[in-house]
Amino acid sequence: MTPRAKKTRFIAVTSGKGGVGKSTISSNLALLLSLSGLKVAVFDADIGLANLDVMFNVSAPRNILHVLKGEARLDEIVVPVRDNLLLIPGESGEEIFRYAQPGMFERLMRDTVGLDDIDVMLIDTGAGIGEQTQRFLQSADDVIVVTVPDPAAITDAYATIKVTARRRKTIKMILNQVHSAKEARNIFAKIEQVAKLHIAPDLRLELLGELTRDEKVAYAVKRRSSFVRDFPRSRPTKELQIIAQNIMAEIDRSVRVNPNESGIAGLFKRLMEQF
Amino acid sequence: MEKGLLTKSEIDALMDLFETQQPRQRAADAEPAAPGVEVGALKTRLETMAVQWSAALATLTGRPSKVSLRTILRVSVIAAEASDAYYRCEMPRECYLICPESFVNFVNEKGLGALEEIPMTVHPLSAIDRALFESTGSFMAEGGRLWHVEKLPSWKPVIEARFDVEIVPLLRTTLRLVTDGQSV
Repeated sequence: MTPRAKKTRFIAVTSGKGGVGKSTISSNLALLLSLSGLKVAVFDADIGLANLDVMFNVSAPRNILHVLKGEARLDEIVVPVRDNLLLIPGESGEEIFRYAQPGMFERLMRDTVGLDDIDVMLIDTGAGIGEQTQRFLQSADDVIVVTVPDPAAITDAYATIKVTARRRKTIKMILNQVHSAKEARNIFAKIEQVAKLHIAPDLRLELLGELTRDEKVAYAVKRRSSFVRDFPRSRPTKELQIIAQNIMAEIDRSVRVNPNESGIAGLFKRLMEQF
Repeated sequence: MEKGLLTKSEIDALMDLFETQQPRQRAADAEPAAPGVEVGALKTRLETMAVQWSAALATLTGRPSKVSLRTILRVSVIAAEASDAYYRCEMPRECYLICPESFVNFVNEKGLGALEEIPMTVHPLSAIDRALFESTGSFMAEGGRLWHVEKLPSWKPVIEARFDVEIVPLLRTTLRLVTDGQSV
């Protein structure tokens, strides 16, 4: 009998420039989704700057590169952060692609036992419009571009949208560190207006939500903790809960598919298809 | 960024969000009339301060920076503004620097990066206070430190000066200095 597994929703979280809170949002969003009962994995695909193990305050002695080199099995590198939440540590996206060989997918498939029931995989990509980051974005079901109300960040976020839109017609955004929902809406409206005029009239940009600037977020990051856990009643937590609810609304947990469409193996299958 | 990825019209349209002033617009916003003697003295001091700010920002960011006095509004009133950061100089007389939040973020990130250790309720002043206020010499030196304030006292008569700040081509923004008459 063909084994059955859940269909994993691959969500890439990216940004045009670094330092806009992408990894903070990824880790806290993953925590919220897992608390809702979904089985969540976070793949740290930030090229050369993988740091989610630090943000989750867990030890990750080995990462996906060791798997690709044949030095470890996938289940040996996956770090359980809490119930329903796994971290797949990354190291260098460039090296990941260097080791992408025809037999890699089959080997990963053998290793995915126990990892094929993931509902959501958040892919924390590197910032920018590099080729490697784009491969992750094109492999995902959803792309979320994070930016802050900063001229350089917004320009780079727009550039990311422009490059990503060459092969994708729907892109989502999260406005981070805004003063108000109104500010977020204004910035989003401007980006959407410019994008429709200069990129493609049929490009669909969606504002997934905004996070208000709050020192509690920086405070939690410094403590290597999660602001949604440390400050459950804070405004950013409530705003991220709304974003999580929006994401969950699009996940159909009833779909069951072949395991090679799920989990980390499913992601690598998609990545391989781009070569 | 990929070379040539964005067009000038795209960048200009996006930068509309940040009070970006094109040269032609800036000329139209120029000071309408020559200042009187009293304002002229103030203008000299503010222009000197702008030069000091330019040097401080260039040191912080490692990029050519230019701060220039755009205009002095001899008497103005403080109106509540959203999405800006307000800094109050720690001195008996009230003095405020109003920075667009995007500018604060940019300088903090490009300049010093890490934020200072902070108690929960205090804004993590890092680069801005050192770069701008501590570089203003006698004008602000007595203030010592800056504190973040949630909002300005509304509708209070003040002297207000606006400065154009250019750090990189993409970041052209406006700082405002608000102070009472005694501070100048």
